[in-house]
Order: sequence, then C-alpha cells, then structure tokens
Amino acid sequence: MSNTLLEIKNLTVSVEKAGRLTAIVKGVDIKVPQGKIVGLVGESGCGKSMTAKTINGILPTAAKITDGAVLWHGNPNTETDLARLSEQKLRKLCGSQIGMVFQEPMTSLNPMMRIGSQVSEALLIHKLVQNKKEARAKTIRLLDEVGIPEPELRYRSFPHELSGGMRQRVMIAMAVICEPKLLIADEPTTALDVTIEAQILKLIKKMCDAYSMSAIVITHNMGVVAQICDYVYVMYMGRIMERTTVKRLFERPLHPYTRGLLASIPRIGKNPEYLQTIPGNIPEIGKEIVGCEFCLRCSDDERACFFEKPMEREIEEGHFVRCHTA
Amino acid sequence: MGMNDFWKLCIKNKSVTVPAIIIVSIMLLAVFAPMITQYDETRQDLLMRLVPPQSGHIFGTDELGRDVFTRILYGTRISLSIALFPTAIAVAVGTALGILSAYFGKWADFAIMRLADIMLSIPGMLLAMVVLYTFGGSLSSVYIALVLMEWGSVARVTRAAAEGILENDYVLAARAMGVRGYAIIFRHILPNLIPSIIVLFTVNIPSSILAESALSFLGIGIQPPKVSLGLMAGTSKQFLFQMPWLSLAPAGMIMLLSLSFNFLGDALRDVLDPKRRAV
Amino acid sequence: MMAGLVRRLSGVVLVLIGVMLLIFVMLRIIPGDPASVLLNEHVSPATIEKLTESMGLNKSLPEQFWDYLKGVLKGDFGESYYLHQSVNALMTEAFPYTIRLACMAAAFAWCFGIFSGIISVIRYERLLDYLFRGLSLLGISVPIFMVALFLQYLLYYRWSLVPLTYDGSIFSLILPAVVLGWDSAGSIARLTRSGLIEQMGEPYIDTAKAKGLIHAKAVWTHALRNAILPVITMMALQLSGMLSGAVITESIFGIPGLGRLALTAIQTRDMPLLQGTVLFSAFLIALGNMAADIINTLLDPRRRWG
Repeated sequence: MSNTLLEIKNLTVSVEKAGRLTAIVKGVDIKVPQGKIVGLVGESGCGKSMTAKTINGILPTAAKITDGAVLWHGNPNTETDLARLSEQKLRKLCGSQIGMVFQEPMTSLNPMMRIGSQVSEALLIHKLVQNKKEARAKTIRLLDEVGIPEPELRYRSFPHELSGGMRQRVMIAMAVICEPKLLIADEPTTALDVTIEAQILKLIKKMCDAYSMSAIVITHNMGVVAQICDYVYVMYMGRIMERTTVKRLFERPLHPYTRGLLASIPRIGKNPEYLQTIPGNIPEIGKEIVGCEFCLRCSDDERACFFEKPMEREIEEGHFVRCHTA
Repeated sequence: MGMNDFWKLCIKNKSVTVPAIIIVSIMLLAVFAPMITQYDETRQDLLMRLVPPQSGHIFGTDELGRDVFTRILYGTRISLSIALFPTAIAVAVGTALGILSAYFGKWADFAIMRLADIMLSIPGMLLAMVVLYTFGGSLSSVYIALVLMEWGSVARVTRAAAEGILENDYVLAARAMGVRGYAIIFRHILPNLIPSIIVLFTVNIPSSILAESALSFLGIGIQPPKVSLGLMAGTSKQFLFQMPWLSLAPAGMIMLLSLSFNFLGDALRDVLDPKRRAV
Repeated sequence: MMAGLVRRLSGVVLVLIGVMLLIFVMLRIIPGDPASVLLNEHVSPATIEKLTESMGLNKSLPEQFWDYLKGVLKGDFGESYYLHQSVNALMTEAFPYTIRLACMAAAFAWCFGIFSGIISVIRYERLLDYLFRGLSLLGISVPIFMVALFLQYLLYYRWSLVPLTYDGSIFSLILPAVVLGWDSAGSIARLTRSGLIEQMGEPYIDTAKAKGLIHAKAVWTHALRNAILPVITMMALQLSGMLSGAVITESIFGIPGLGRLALTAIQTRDMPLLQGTVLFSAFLIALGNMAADIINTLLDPRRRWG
C-alpha cells in the first residue's frame, strides 16, 4: 500500500522478569494509512501501550523489542525501521514527525516548567523556528486553537494551575506543535471526566483534519473508537484478535472477545438491571497458553481452542479475525 | 513489604550478601583476635619500637613497641561495639518516639518533634563535645554522645513512615472498629516498619563509626590504654611522613568497615524500594 | 507566605531557646565547682569565693540561666575562663577564618557533587557512573582525618605541591577545603543521583522524550529542576554545618577558626567558650534551615501559589 504512513510488522516486545523473557506483545501487525485514525482497543495490560511506546522508543528499560519492524514512510518511497534506528535519529523524528499524547495529563507535564516553555520546547529542539519570539507567537496561536482561554496568560502558567481537561488540551498542543504526520494518543481521555471526554475527542479529530495527520488512538473504551476512529484493532494478551473498519466491527463483530467488549457498553433503554460483562480475568503475564489466548474466558469454545493457536483469517475483504469459531 | 519477603529478597541479592559476608568476617577477626595474634594489644616492647612492617609484625610496631596489627584487631572490637550498641539504642529510641509521635499526635507529637529539632540543630561533632565535656572522654560517654546525635533523625523518618501506615484504609478500618493503642502499634505499625528500621540501622552505623574515630583521633574520645582505631591514627600522625602506615592502616580499617556498611545499607534500601533503581 | 514565615520564625526561636537550655543544663549536670578547677588548690577559700561570686556561680541554676539568657539576647556570651577574653571577641576573631574555609569547601563540594551526580545519571550504569558512584561512596565512608593525612603525605611530603598547614594564604586553604568538602561532595553526589533517577521514572520524562529530547537533555532540562530542591536543602545545612566550625580539619591544618576554638574550649574545660560556640552554631543551622525553606518556597511553583 503506497499510502501507508506507518506499518508495524510482526512486532514482538518482551519483558525481562526474574531473569526470564516474557513476550507481552506477540507478533502484532498494524497499518496506519495516511490521514486516517486507527483505534487500538483492549483491556489494561494487553500490551497496547507497549505497542505505542515502541513507535517512539520510550519503552521502559526492562522491555525489549525482540522481533519485528516498525516501518515509517515519512516520505513516499522511503522506508525507515524505527525499531532499529539509533537513539539520536529516532529523537529527531519524535516530536517533529510523530507526536504523542499521554494518559495522565497530571503527571505527564513537568510540574516545574511553565506551560509555554513546555509546549514551545519541541519547536526549538527541532529548529523549526528562527527564535524564541517566533516560538512564543506560534505557541500562543496553537493554545488558542486547542481551546485554551486567555492563551497569553496561560503561557506563563504552571501545570498545577490548570484543570485536567485544560492540561490535556495543553498536551495535545504540545504533540501537534511541529505539525507531525502521526499523532499517538495513549488513553487520552481515561483520566478525564466523562463530560470533558467528548470535547477532547472532538479536538483530536479536529486537529487531525486541520493538519492532515494520521493518528493511533489507544483506548479500552469502545465508545471512543466509535466516535473518532476509521479503523480498529482489537488486542488481547499481546495479540491482535480482530481488525477491520469501525463501521464493520460495530455492524458485525466476529471475535467473541470483540462481541463481549461491545456488549459491555452500557446503553440507555436496554435492561438497566443487567450489564453484560466478560467472565473471568486476564491470565497472569508470562503464563504459557497453548491454544487461543482467550479460550479460558470464551463463551463458544471448541476443542481446538485449547490446543491450537488460531491463525488470522480474512473473513471478508479487510476484515481479519483470529478465532477458530468465527 | 512484609518481613518474610524482605528477607528472601535479601538472601538472593548479591549486593546484600557480599558486604554482609565482609562484615561478618571482620567481626570474626575481632572476636577471635586473641587466637589470631600472639601479641598483647597493650604490652610494650621498648626494644622493638617503630619497627617497619616485617614478618612477625605485618604492620610494624608503634612508638611504644606494640604490634600495630594486633592493635588494629582490638581497635576493631571497639569500632564494632560502637557500630552496634549506641546505634541500636538510638534507632530503638528514635523509632519508639517516632511511632508515639505519629500515633498520639497533638502535644506529644509537638514535644517530641521539637526535641528532635533541638538535637538536630546542634552539629553532631559539637553535641558530642558537650557530652564529652560533662562526662569526660570514655567509651560510655562516646555511647551517650552517639545516641544523642542519632535518635532525632531516626524519629523524624519513622514518624513519617508511621503516619503513612496510619493512613492506610485497613488501619483506619481497624481504628473505626475500636481497635486501640497497643494493638494498632504492635499489629499494624511495627511489623510494617521493620524493614525500614533495618535500613535505618544499617545506614546509621557508618556515621557512628566515623564519629567515634573522629573524636578519638582528636584525643577527646576513647582514652588510652583502651585501643581505638581513631586514637591510633591520631597518636601516630606525628610519624606520618616516616611511617605512614602507622596512621593510615587503622584509618584504612575504619574505611573498610564503614564502606561495607554503606554498601550494605544501599543494597538493603534498593531491596526495600526497587523503584529507586529503575530509570 | 508571610504567615508561614512568621510561624517558622517563632518555631526557630523556640528551638534556639531549647538548645540554650539543653546545653546550659548538660554542661552543668555534673556538680563541680568551676572556680576551684580554674585555680590551683593552694589558693585560699576566700579567693575561690570571690571568683565564684564574680562568675555568678553562687546563684541558683534558674537564676544563672536567666542571667545568661539576658546576656545572649544582648549579644554577650560571657567571658572565657581560660583565655580571659570575652567569648564574643574570640568568636569574632575566629569566624573569618572559618568563613573562608567553609566557602571554599562548599564551592568544591557542591560543584563536584552536583556535577558528578548529573554525569552519573546521564551515563547510567556505564563506566563514568560506576566511577563517580565509587568516589561518592568513598566520600561518605573515608574518615575525614584519613583524607587529610593521605593528601598531606602525597601532596606535601611526596610531591611538595602544597604547604603542610595553613600559613595565612588562600593557596594553603585549598587542601583543607578539599578535606572538609570531601564527605559533603559525596552526600551531594548521592542525593543528586538518586533524586534524578527517581525523576527519570516520572511520566513527564516520557513526554519530553516523545517531544524529541535525547536522554542527556531530558536529564538537564527536565529532571534536574525537579530533583534539585532536596539538594538545595542539604546544601544549606552543609554550609551552616561547615560555618559552625570544622573541628578536625581546622585542628589538623592549624586554622585558627571556630572549630579550633571549640576544641580548645573542651581541652581547657572552658565552659563559657564551649557554650558560646555551640549556641552560635545552632543559630547558624537554624538560619541555614530557614534559608533552605525560603529558597524551596521560591523555586517550587506549587508551593509559591498553592
């Protein structure tokens, strides 16, 4: 595909625990097309954040990429493997071409630095402006654009003086200030009030359109996916279980896990006494599972589920699923 | 972290076991000193004064013909007793007062913490000198000085830790259900504090050893005929240029001891709080 | 902030009075007659009595303390038994030497300590980190007199680079400053390193790296400003500790500062002199504590407006 911006191929990330390597991301393939928003959905601990962190090389020291590639098509016809790039070169890409928004706007901003200098920092590092004055003007313009009232005043504020929603707007401004080609949003609304969530999602969508950015949105919330994504990848225990367009996924979810996720969204009008959940818990990390990772919690298991890993199958054009029963 | 987990992690950890083994070996050397050396630490041999290192006297002899190696072994006994007893008393007193301060709050907290403030606003060396002025230079006054020097910071740390424990939901629940006093202190606070107490104890040992050696070096701490490593270094410093080993060898022993305890303290702290190690 | 300052100030006054009371009582626990100690036994009882009275020793302890307190508030620390001069004069004479030594030692300790702490984290778990970690561990483990003797042996006796003791010149203060700053440098390096390591695990460092900062730059521009606050507190305490007299360093190098004065006081059983130097140092420490608190409040935006 020529218009693919980022392609993650067979990515495997392992964590060293008690002297043993345990895979937490297992052979993940993700394609991010130019100008589209891709959702990565799964329960906490399924490896979705780790997948995102490999892209800009901020994995924790205990975690290592053990296999696979992260192919970046910054310019058409060129291909860079971010997983094998030197730290120096990777840092040049980060911020300027790949921006990231984190989950906790509270702790993800430096408490000792003014908002303005944190937002404009990337411009200065990547030498996209001539001087500080220009950086300041651009920062204030952008703060205004992401919906921060009195941006001139806020430029000199410290993070603790802002509300959670405002801080997340600052994070977004910080991520897009260099007009990157890709925005990674790691649970951008999880730490926020539900009332703020919709605003922030709209803002992300708006910024993507305005700067023709692609985006990867990581979430555990199917509602978020429905609101802004074009494509969706469902992840469970480090593996992609199902991938397709958002429209198809909501119309015809194939994997039992996806169906479970969709069924556990509370809806008005349905029987309010009964909220469906997925039974059981995620197995402990590092536990060896012979068959399908989901078999223990699955409602329609077969014999094969316990003994054989399901391969990914294309059920319909562009709709892939990793399940024996689908 | 409970006591059992702490213990298990320690035994597995090389940076805990290695300094621990060194310390135990030094302790054994000191305890079995009479069997290791044929000399008496105080017997003078005026025919064998200021002998350079040679077989029979591996660190030579001092100005009164006493074997320096023997004296180092006996001096280590004092250093180790300094490391253990006053530090243990200071940690015990500091922990008790810190817990009381956190548990009772109000005026008890105010009184104990102001007392700690008072102690901590006098430089350790000068506080020790006041004690030595009053009680004269001797082993027991050095003990008193060290306890006075150290309990305050221990009390501050344990108070903070105990306050953290008291805020835990299970303790709040226990208090709400009417569990009081001793039960809270002995069932909830103390067991959870033990690993931190061990760490506090270990990190205070080197400062005790160094403080004693400094006082004795100045001639106001332990007095002859008792043998202290600091005292040896102090009396031999007049021969520094001709026979540097006379003062540097006992000083080296002090260094080895406090280095091992510092290593051990660091390693124990890492076991207790693994977050500090990760970048 | 003003209210906080006033509250702190009253706390400081309380602690200082406490120190005074404690020292006053501790120096007098053992009943003895300082007057008879000073004079030899052949002096007539009448002379002893006269001296006792002139020293105010015939009054009760609370009365004596009250007199002393009044004196101190007026800036009068009494008169030295042995040197027959006012304690004030002795301390005023000694203090400049101590200031010079302390400032040089602090400059050495802080530059070296903070620098090596930062390098340690930039080169985390590499050669330089191990080197500086080893050095800082030596800093807090080696007895200060051993550093002094070792450096004297090497730099004076072997290489004749520096004078053996203080001769009045700044140059001859370099060695004592290194000796005095030695363990402070070690503790500063360790605190800087552990603080930085803790900060490097914070989420905002991930943000900085995602922005494109390389590791070293993230340490310098982001982690350092968060890790420095406790270091500043320690620095203030170290400086006030050094200013209150470095007993060992000053006695080894023959510097006539406050530490030497305190040592002379204990060697000659000069109670007013010892009392004066201890009180003065407690005052300095309280001052250092307060300075650290104010600097921290000014630097931390969360406290400034919170």
